[in-house]
Amino acid sequence: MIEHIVVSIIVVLSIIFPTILDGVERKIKARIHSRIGPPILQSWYDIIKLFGKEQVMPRNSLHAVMLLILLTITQVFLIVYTSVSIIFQITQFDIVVIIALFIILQTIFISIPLTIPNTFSVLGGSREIALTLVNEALFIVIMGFFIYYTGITSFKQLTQLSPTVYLLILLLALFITGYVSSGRIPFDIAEAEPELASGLMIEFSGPILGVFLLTFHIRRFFVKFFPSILFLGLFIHTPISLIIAGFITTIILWIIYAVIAAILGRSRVDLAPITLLKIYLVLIALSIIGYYLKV
Amino acid sequence: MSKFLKKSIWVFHLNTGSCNACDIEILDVLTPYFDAERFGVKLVASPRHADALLMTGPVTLEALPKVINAIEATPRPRILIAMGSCSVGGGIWHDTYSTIGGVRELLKILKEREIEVDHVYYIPGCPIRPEAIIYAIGLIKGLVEKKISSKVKKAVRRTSG
Ligand code: SF4
Repeated sequence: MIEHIVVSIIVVLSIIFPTILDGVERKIKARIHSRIGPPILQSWYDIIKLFGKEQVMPRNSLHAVMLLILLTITQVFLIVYTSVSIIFQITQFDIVVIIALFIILQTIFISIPLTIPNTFSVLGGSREIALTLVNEALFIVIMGFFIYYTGITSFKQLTQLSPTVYLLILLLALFITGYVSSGRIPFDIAEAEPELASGLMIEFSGPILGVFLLTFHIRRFFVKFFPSILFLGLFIHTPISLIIAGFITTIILWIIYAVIAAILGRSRVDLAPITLLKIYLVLIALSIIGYYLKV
Repeated sequence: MSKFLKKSIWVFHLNTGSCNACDIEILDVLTPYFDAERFGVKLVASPRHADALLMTGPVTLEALPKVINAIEATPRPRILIAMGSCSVGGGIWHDTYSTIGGVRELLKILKEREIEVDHVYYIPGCPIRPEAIIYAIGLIKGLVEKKISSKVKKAVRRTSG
């Protein structure tokens, strides 16, 4: 019974809380800039306001709306599936299912701007594809290595694990993919606000923009929550403690990422994916060496 | 104006042929010193995301079609904020051959084309001071009262008959 209550609370919080965390992030950035900054609930005010605005869409972009609805539903389903499968094992391959769903999500995400007849939107979409080819592709590779090293395909089996150096290196790479997936500086090249006039979301307005932002915040939450669970699974072996600790770690990570994003500068468009690729390759190589040396 | 629109005003900067001094003052408001974000103001890069259009300049004939496009692209309820003497009344270009002479004429053209503007705010000054822009934000949010002298009120009553 207690497990059902915990899962329900976590699911509801992981849909409502990311937008509040976005407000916290804006506040932290403001404090680093020595500003007062917006109220913590500002991101929610923005979204609620957008729901009250007129919907203007360019002609021939009905596909974008359909894909966006699909994106939102899949994103919410993914967060529900992840939270439930941590406590109640749904299949023996829960982690694999989550990876597959995440890849489907990313595919929908990059195809939305390409269906809108606007040059900036298409350009933003192309940049997102370049980043996806490095980040999300390497996410699959890293998860592949994780499964190969440990033989684990569901959260229930995490109890068999103990922390080793090569696993920790792999998880570090996974946390970096989380930072990049959340579209923070310098990896916000797809939006590149003043340069591309908001890039991939240039044509969205009113409720559609509100839904897009809401989905984007939930996605930002998920890309931190998933690596946190895998990391904490090395130390915590009871599912309820694991999910609660995972939620708290995600909040802490969000704040750390916010501080990093406020400190980092922008990068050249072509330089960001290449630098990222080099970092991933070094980390994966180190983890392979660690695995064969058994450290 | 809805409660949440007052709490979150996303602005799009629309230069219609200004000398750029007003535009620099807009950037000034966004710097940490004035920190417009504390009022929920955010500068957006696309008119589709905007609630308010920060219009600077007297609207040159060259810029007019693009200005109309940008206003039309903004979802309703849309707010137009005329910034600087040029934008409010044409300024020193009020009767030149290449401008339409500010927001008044623009509103007439918009009316002819059935493009609605829900609220119009005026910020005079050449260039406008950042404090004046903050005051305008205060007006939109309802934090300050509209200040209008009895002389102006009488003049308005007289012209409107
Ligand atoms: S109002 Fe003055 S400062 Fe502003 S654009 Fe016009 S001339 Fe320049």
